[in-house]
Amino acid sequence: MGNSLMKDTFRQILKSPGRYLAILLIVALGVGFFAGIKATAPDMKVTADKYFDDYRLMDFWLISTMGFNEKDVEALKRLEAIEGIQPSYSIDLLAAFEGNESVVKVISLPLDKVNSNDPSYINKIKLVEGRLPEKPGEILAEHGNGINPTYPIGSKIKFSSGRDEDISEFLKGDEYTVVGLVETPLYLSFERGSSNIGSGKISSFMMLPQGEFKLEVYTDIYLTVKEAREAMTYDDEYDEILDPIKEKLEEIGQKRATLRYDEIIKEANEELSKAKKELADGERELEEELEKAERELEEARKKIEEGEEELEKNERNFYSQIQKAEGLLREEEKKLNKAEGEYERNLALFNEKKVKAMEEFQRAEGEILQAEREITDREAELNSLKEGLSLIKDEEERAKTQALIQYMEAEINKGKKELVAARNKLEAGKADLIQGEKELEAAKLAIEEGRARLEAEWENLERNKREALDSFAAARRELAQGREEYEKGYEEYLKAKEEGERELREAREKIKEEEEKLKDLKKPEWYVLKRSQTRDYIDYEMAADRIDAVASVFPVFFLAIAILVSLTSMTRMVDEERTYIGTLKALGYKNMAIASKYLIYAASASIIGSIIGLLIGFKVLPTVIFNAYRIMYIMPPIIGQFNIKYALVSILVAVLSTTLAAWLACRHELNETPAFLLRPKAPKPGKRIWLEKIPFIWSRMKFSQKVTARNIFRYKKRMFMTILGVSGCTALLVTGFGLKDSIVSIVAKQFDEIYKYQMVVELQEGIDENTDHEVLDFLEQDSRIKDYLLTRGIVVDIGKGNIEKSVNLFVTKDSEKIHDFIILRNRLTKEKLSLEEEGVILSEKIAKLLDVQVGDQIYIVHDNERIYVKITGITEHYADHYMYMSSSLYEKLYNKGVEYQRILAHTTATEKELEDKLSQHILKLNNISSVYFTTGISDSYEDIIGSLNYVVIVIIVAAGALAFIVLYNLTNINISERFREIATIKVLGFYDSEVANYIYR
Amino acid sequence: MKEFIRLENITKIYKMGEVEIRALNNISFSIDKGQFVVIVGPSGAGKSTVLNILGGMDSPTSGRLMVDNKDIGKYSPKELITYRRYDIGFVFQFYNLVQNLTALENVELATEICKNPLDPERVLEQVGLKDRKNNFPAQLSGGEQQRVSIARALAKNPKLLLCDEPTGALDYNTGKSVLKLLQDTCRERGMTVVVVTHNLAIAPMADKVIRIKNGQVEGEEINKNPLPVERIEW
Repeated sequence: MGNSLMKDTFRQILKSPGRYLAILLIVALGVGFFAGIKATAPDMKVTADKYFDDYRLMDFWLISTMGFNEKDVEALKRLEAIEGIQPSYSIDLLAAFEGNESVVKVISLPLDKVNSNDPSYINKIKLVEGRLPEKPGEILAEHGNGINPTYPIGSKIKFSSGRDEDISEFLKGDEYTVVGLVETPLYLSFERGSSNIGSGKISSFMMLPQGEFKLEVYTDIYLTVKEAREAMTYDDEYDEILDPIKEKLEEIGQKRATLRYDEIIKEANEELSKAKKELADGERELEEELEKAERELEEARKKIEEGEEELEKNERNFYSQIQKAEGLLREEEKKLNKAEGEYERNLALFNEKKVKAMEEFQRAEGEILQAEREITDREAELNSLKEGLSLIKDEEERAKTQALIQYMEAEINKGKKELVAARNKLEAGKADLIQGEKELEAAKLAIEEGRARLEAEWENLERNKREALDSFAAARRELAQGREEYEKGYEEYLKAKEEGERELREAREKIKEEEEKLKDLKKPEWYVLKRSQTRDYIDYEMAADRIDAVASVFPVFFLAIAILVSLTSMTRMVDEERTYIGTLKALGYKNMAIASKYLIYAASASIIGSIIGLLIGFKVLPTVIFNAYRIMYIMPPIIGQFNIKYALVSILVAVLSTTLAAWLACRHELNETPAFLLRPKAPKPGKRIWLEKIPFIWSRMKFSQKVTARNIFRYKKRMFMTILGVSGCTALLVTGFGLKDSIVSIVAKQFDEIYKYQMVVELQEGIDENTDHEVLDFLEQDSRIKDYLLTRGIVVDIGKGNIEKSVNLFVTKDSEKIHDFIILRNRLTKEKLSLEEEGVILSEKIAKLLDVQVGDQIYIVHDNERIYVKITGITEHYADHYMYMSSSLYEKLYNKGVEYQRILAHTTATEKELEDKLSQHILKLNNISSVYFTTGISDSYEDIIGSLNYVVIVIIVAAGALAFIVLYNLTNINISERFREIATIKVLGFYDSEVANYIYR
Repeated sequence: MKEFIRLENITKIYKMGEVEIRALNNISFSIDKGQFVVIVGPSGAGKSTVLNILGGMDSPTSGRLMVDNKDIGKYSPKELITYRRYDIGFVFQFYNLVQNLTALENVELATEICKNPLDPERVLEQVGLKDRKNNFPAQLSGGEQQRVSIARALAKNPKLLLCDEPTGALDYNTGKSVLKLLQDTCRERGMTVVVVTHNLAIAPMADKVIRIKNGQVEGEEINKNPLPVERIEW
């Protein structure tokens, strides 16, 4: 190709950049969109891979029904392919914060390894805010979407276990302060799974240093595998590395499980035998103690009885003695009385005697007195004589007087002597009397004395009697007390006995229970999960695949339209340059040389367009789409890698197709003779159109309408392209909107039209319909529950021919009532399907996948055998695959009763508050595994769809842009091609608006 | 002089849909080397068709066309290209210059593909456009454009120069100067020049005049003493 031609080509581009740009842009758009969307899914996966590698997401996650001990860990360590191993704890707890209580998953963090590069630190955390825990009582909470974390730094969280056990069984503390916010590759989405405590929905995760846990066994083991990190995580290669190791792990799991089982059994048996021994000891002890107590009581009773007997004897003795004593005393008294009588008689005698004696005495005394007085008179005369003597001085006289005195004195003396004798005689009489009196007195005294003694004796007796009675009373009281005490003791004894027996019974029961439990103890089972079996990982992959699915249709459309547009553009250009081509041909230029101009034109436009498209597409689309997804996933920003495969494919397709379009456009012209080309192209001859043959239409049309009609038929190709281009874009737009609407409405349909229930209660263990059950009572009685339905849901494989699929088998107790909970109907006719006894109802999609019709036989895999069953209906359904079956059919097929473990229920309202409360209530009941509400499910579906909306919006915007370019291009071509025609019309005096009218039709 | 070009019973039929148009009907004539030939006739007589067939831009439906002892009529499209490239210079009624190229470049466009072309600048100088060589066609007048067109044809140093109504779009004086250029070229370089025109007034300047009407040769006359352009008036 010559220099000048080259120059011409470039000048052509520079001078009329519009067309060139149009091609360039449409190619850029097409390629960018194609490559961008195509690259999004791989980019997402690469980003995830990098993220997982950087943060060392586990390759394997082991969980076991009984946890893991050190021996398990040791066994795993021996496996050579294992790079790192991190035994870990995780428990669901109730976290109270600011009055709200929600379920959180608390995961252990090997704090000592956080900053090291230890390969056994798996699932590294990313500390987004704050710091790591430094002392007990500090915890890390999840960062979430970063807008407003549920538990900001500084939050004080109070944990409770939400189970029968106390929180202290699980953690060292129960109150923790959030010191940092983290992200972990374990959780990509914001879905945290479900739990069997609290509301049943885990709202958040938290991380505690491993040392804060008090669990006996590890709950989880995370493993990384050598060389697995080099493989792309979502590639088959990764799985190929993992699969053999998984097998090995499962082998170890089985071995370890057996060992562990034996261990546990042994331990339990030991414990049981210990408990039994203790029980036996207890029994013996109790028996002994009771015996002793009994003996003691018996003794006490005997003593009391003895005491009573003795008391009685004593009393008897006492009474007889008293009687005797009283008898004696009475005799004594009688004697005394007799003595008294005698005395009285004696006294009377004496008194008589005494009176006589007294009279004699008085007379004697009188005589005595007379005698005395005579003596006294004489004495007085004597005395006067004596006195006179002294005075008589004459001796004779004196002697006479003296003799007289002497006489007298002798007289007196003799008188006196007589007196004395009388007196003595009196005195003796008196003394006799006194003697008698004295004797009487003595007798009286003796009597009195005897009486006094008797009295004293009586008194004594009385006293003794009283004292004895008192002592008897005391003794009786004592005895009564003793008896009372004994009674009390006995009662106590009975109580103690009962209690002891109860305790023993309980202990026995417990042992029995334990024994039964031990008997029921299943072998621990290890679950070896690849990372690709974890929820979020799959979820994310599905998200990427959804984009890929979108990418498989839409961008192709785009590319097709881009090609179409460039074809029209190039055709138009070649048409315009007819003469030019003719001239060149006339000058002797070869076809290829001439064509090369157009090829270069188209190719350069498409190459540049492709490159621009690729650069923008690879950069912008994955970022936009991924950022939309990042609302749902916690991921680092996307790694926009240049995807060579899609780049090459799209460039090749775009360049080849536009160049081909250019070649096709000019090929025809090039084959013409220059002479033909140099003549102005004969306008397409106006032709009569078939419409004219229908006069009643044609004659009614105005001139301008006629022209338009003819033009439409004249430029068939153009019209066709316009229609195709516009309809393509419209289709894209409609599909974009439609995709959105249909998915949204599918959720709405599934949850509003198909699923009529609001609540699902999952039971831990299946129940059969006849037994009473707490939950059923609750559901029956609670005013918030309108109605409920017992169902069983298990996943089974069904198939026909060589296609086999997994479906949810839904067995219901009540084939009639099911219509109140799930609508089974034909999608088209809306005709209700009844659950027949002889067959099953399949959901629509699975029926389509298996390619079966109503009346066909399918098989169900049960215990590696195939059970055949007839399809009696195919029902409208939008999410997941279901097979509905009546309980009677289930019983017939499986040869066992249905164990219902899922209860569907109608609630009276769907407010969040009510649902939360209701679920809390239900979770407190026995045997509840989880409770959830359809509102929650449809919410999470809507989340997914929300992110899809972004993709759809991107599609819609791009489709709009495409439509604009297509229309712009085509209109432009239309106008420029009919330039002359327009000029002529203008010359004829058409107004602009009329001209525009003329063209656009 | 020996016969340079010979047409024998050339017939050209165009098919326009279902209608056949017989543009040339058994036409036969010959041209000698170095002759200045004018083909005249009314519009639609088939003049241009003859010229196109001569220039290898169209193929006859039947008949024989010998140019320089070669049977051009039997040439394949590819051979025709080579023929056009090396042997023919063509001047069009509407110049057919490439709008995106300057006068010089338009000439170069032709010379680049020739075996022994003339120097484009010299040729432009000869046609009197030395000063305008860097102008784009849109910046040139009709006569100037036609001169560029002629220069482009001449620069190829062709054996045969074919001109289709070279003055058709030009005014009298300009037309004259263009014709002079052609005549001079013929005379000075001994180039065979064929001019197609409906202007009978030009006929006197030709060595040979061929009259065509309704696709047939109406008459052939040899002009022993062709007039110089200056003396022709119309």
